Amino acid sequence: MVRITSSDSQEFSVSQDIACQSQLIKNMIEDVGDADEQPIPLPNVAGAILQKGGSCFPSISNAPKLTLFAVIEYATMHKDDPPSAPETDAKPSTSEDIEDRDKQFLNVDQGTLFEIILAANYLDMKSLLDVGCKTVANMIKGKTVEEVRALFNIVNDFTPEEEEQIRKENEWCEDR
Amino acid sequence: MHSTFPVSVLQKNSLERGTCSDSAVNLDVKAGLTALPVELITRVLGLLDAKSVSLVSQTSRLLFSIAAQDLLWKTLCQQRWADKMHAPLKLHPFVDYTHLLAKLDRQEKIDILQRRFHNASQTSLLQLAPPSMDEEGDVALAECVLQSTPVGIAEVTVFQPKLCGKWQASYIAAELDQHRMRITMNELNAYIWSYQESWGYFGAGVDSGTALRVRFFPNGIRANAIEDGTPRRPRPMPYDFTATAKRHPPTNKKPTKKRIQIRKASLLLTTTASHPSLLDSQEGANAHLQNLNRAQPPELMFGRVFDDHALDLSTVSLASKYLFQLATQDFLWKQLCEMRWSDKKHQSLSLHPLVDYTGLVPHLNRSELLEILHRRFLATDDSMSDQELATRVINTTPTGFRDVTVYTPLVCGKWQASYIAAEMDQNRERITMKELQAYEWVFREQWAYDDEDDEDETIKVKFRADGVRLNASDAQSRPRPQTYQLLASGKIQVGNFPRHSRPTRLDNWGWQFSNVYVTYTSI
Repeated sequence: MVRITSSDSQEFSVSQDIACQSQLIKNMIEDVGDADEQPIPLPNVAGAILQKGGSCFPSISNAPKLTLFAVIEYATMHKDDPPSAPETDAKPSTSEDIEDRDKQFLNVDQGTLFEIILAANYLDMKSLLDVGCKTVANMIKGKTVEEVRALFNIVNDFTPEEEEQIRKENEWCEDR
Repeated sequence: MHSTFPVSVLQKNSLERGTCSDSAVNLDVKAGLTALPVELITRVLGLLDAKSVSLVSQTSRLLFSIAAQDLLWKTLCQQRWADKMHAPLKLHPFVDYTHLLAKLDRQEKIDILQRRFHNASQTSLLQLAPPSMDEEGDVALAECVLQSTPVGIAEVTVFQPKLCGKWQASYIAAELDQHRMRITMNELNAYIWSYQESWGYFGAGVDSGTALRVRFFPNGIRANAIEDGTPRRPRPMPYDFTATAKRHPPTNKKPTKKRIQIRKASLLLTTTASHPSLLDSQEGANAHLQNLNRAQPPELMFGRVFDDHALDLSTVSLASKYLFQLATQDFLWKQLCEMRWSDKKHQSLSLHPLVDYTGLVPHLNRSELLEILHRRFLATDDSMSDQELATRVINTTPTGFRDVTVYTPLVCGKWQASYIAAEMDQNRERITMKELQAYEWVFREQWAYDDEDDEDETIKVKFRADGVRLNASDAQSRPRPQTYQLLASGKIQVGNFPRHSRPTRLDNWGWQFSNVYVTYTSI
C-alpha cells in the first residue's frame, strides 16, 4: 500500500498498482525506495473532503472538491487496463473515442473537470489527461464563438478592428 | 517520518501557477478553460478540427495566441492533406506572405517559389541556397516570394493574412483553393496524368499499374510521360490550353463550356502522384459506382446519387457503357434542362436551335421539329409533311455563322444535346439579327429625370424587321422611331446617336447593350 496526502491533508491509502498509474508517484517511489514508511504529499492536488457517513463512493458530480478521490477512483477503474500502446500511431486520436465508463466518470461540473485535468497533468496520468482533454474538446465542437465564450466565461478582449480582421481571416470555415 | 520525504522535488515539478497549497483547491470555476496552463489548452486544441480551432481563436486574445501556434496548424495541415493530391506538407503557394516574411526560413521560401513554379527556384537562387546563409540571398528570396504572389490570375484565390501564422494561412489557402475550377498551365505541365480511354476495357477498374502515364510538356506536346526515345502510346500530339484565354467575373457563370471540358478531361486524365493507390476523389467515386451500379435499379440510382447535377451526370456517363446508357436518358436531361433554364430568358423548355440534329431526327416528333424551326426563326407551314420538316431542320442547322457555336452530338440524346448547346451558347458574344428583332427590349435612359424614374413607366421598344426601332406598344410614344443597323462588328447603331456597345449576355441569359445615354435590356 501507498499512502498519499492531498493539499488539505487528507490521507489516502491505495495499493501500489493503482498509485503507480501516476507516473509522478511511480517515479517518486522508485527514487525514494520503500514508500511504506511515509505518506506522499501531493500539495497540488486539491481536496479530499469525504462525506462522513456517506457512501464509500459518493457520486462525484455532487462533490466538486473530491479531486484526488476522483483520480483514485479513476485509477481503480483502470487498474486492469493493458499498458497503453507506445505512441507510434501516426494519426493522433480524435476526441470521439471515449469509453462509456470514462464519459460517465467525467460527467461532472466544469470546475471539477478542470481540476481533474490539472491533477492528471500534475500526477502525469496520460490516459486520464487524454480523456479529460477530449471531454473539453467535445464541449467546444459544434458551438459558435459566442457559445464558446459563454460556456467557459471567456471575456472578449479584442478591439473591434482586431475582431473584424480575425473574423475575415476565418471566413473560410463559415457555411460549409 | 513525514519530513524525510524530498518535498523539494515536488515543488520543482509543480505547476507554475499560484502557490502549492491553494491554487488547485480554489481553482475558479468561472475562469473555465483559460484557467488551464497554456500547454493544456494547446493539448485540448490539438484534439479539435481546424474549424473548431478557428472558432476558439476568435473568442479572446489569449486563446487567439494559443490557437495561432504554427505547430498546431502544421499538424492540422498534415492530417488534412495526407490523402490529397499535389499537397506536400509545405507552405501553400497561394498565400500573400507580406506580413509573414520574417517568419519564413530559407528553405520555406524556396519551397514556396517552387510550388509557384517560379523560374528563380530552378536556377540561380537555388544554387545560392545550400551552403552559405548570406543575407543578400535571403533578401533576394524574400523579394521573389513577394513578387511572385499569384494575384490577378484567373480564378486563383490568394489568401491575405494579417494576423494568422504561416501554417494556418496555408491551411486556409488550401481550403479556398480546393474549389478552384481552372487549372493553370504550370500545373498542367508539372503533373503526370493517368491516361485512360473511356471506351477501353470496361469493368477492369482502375489499375494504376497498367494505366498509361502522359505529360503535357511545356513545348505544347502531349506525350507518354516516359521519355526514353522509344515510341509509346499515346502518340505525341499537340495540345492547346485555351482556358487561360480570359478571366470570368467571379460572380456569375455556373458551368461554362470550358468547365465542362475540364470536368470531362478530369475523368479521362486523373492525376497521379506519390500515392498511386489513392484515387482522385472523383474517380474514386466512379469506381465505387461501378462496383455498385448493377446492384440497384437505374431510376433509383440516379434519383439517389445525382440530384440535379448535370456535370456529375456527364461525368458518370463517361464511366462505363452501362452508366452511359443510364445517364443519357432523355427524361433525365429534360429535367435538368427544366431546372437549369427555369430562370433564364429566351429559353423555353423546348429543344435548342443550335444543335445539329442530323443523327437525332428519327427521335424527333412533329411538334419538336416545328418548335426547333420556330426557335430558328424560320417560317413553318402546316401543310409540310414530317419528312419535309425533318429535312428542313437538318438543312437549316446554323453552322458557319460568326460567333455562333453549333453543338454536334455524336452519341448523346436530344435533351442532353440541347442542354449542352445552351451552356455553350450562354457565352456567345454576338446577337443575331433575328434575335434582336424577335425580343422586346426595355429602354432606359441613363439621364432620366429623377421624378420620372418610376418602375411602372418602363418603356418597351422593338427593333422591327424593316429597320425601324420604335415603341413596342404605341408607335406615337417616346422614343421616336429611328432607323437602326446591326453592324458587322456586332454593335448596334440607332439613328445618328452614339454607337451602342456589342450586346452582352447577362446571368439570366438575356441580352443588354448600351451607349452613354440609353441601355436596352431584352425581356
